[in-house]
Amino acid sequence: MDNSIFQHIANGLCLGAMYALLGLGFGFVYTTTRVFHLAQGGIYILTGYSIWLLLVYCEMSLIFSVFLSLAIAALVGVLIEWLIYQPLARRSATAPVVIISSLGVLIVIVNILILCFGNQPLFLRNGIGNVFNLGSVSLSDIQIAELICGSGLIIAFWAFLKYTRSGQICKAISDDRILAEVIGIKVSKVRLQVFAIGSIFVGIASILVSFDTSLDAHLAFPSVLIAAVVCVIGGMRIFLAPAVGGVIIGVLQNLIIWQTSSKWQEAITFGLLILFLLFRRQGLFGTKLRAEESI
Amino acid sequence: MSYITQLLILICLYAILAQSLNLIVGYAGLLSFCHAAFFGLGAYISAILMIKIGVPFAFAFIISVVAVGVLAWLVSYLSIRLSGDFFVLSTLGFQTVIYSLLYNWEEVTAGKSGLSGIPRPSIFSYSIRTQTALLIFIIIFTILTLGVIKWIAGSPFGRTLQAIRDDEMAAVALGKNVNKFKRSVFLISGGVAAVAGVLFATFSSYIDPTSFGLSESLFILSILIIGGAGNMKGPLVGAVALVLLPELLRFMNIQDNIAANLRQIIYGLALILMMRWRPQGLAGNYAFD
Repeated sequence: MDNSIFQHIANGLCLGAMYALLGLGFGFVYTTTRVFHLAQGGIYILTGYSIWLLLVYCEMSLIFSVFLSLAIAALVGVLIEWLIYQPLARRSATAPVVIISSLGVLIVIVNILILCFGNQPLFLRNGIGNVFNLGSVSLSDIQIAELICGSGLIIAFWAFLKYTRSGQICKAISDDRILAEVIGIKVSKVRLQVFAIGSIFVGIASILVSFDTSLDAHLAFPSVLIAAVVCVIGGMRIFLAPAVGGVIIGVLQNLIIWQTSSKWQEAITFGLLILFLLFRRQGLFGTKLRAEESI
Repeated sequence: MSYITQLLILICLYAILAQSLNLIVGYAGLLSFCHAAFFGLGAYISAILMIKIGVPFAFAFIISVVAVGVLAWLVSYLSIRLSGDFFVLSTLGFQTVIYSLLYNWEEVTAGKSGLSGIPRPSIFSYSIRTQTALLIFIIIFTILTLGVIKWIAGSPFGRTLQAIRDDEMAAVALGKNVNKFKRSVFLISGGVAAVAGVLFATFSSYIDPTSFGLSESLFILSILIIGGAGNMKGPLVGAVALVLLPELLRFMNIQDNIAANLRQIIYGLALILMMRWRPQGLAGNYAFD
């Protein structure tokens, strides 16, 4: 019983790594483009269904299925930006118009997928796979993959922002889009890249979570909501902050399950969101914005 | 007959819901995703009062309308200091928290099994039994409610809201207490949503939390956006169109399980296309600018 707290924290870290990826994807898009990308939830389940189709239905190899479904995720992300958001950005549509369009995209993707794949949860594999014991903590092979992929991608993303020209350009656009345009950055092209990268982050999280638990179209909206929560808690407009927010929420949810029951985890998560929005809008790592800077 | 009656009752309920949301979204210009929570709280509070305590309909009605109004005021008190995307996110948060309470607080709300045996309304010892009487009762309520909303929208209060929506700084400069107006509109709108909730509870005599989730909030918002926000006509057009759309699909002999998703796809596409080419909706006059 004493040791079970370590087990719950370990489970929380694995879940948190996935939340971190969802949050990084959402936060990257929001910080650079100011699009509140609700349709990310659609990309989340689309990737899951793609890999199910390739791996389980068509019985292709794992590596090939993973790469192809991530390519589909990136492609759809780019298409959404190109067909939906860019025309709106060109006529400088207001934030509500963008959110509502994004919501429409989410609804369309989710329902097309339900029409094709049915309403029931799907499983990518039977059983729980190998379990490894590390001291008093036991983790499944997928959980270990979650930890490795999560931390690896966070580091890769940090390096991308710090050392590559594309990363610097993304930072520049997030600081001042108009100035970036003035110095000759093709903002609309960079935005396409941003959506591709964000979608791949979300896709990787989706594949791992689908292996770990199951694949369910009803997770589309919750997945993007949790991504937004994670971003608010870490701090919007800071590229890496969602990673910390994700780990905190992941661990917290597992501790809630341990101490009370799983039925309250949603209420407590969103209660925490409201508290953060009210008392620490800038998140854990943000700095307070002046009124004219806030969105 | 009862099929037509049911449709008419649904149109009335959604007309009330969309009109009340219109006060927040169309007149005050605040995009809110938690209207189904107010609707559901109205239904639940009145149902619990009538079933568990045996309060007569009229009192249950008044208590739940006032309670939800106050709660909506509280929600707005907390969230209107946020702007833009963060405001939307906070209303999503409230929607999720309230839904989770309805779903999980089993001692009070009976959880996912729902509350059954909600009595039909009775006023001054005249109780309503037949479907037709219920329809007339609900139509009268709808007309009264819409009349009140029309009066509010046209009053100096409503016009101030539109001024705040169009140019908040100018309204502040004119000495308007902007936040007070926004809180008041939540109070009113929440109360009106509760009216629809009470009517829904007595009409269906059984409620469970799944009728008041996020997807219901999105549906009410879709009615408003597709019909059009910012005037009285838009939400009515939207309510009629979106309540009748599934029936149209039914007459086209589309299977029920496919029709549900097809309907959603149509709403989603409508939202995308409207925002692209006609953000003011079919008959509205506020284009979210």
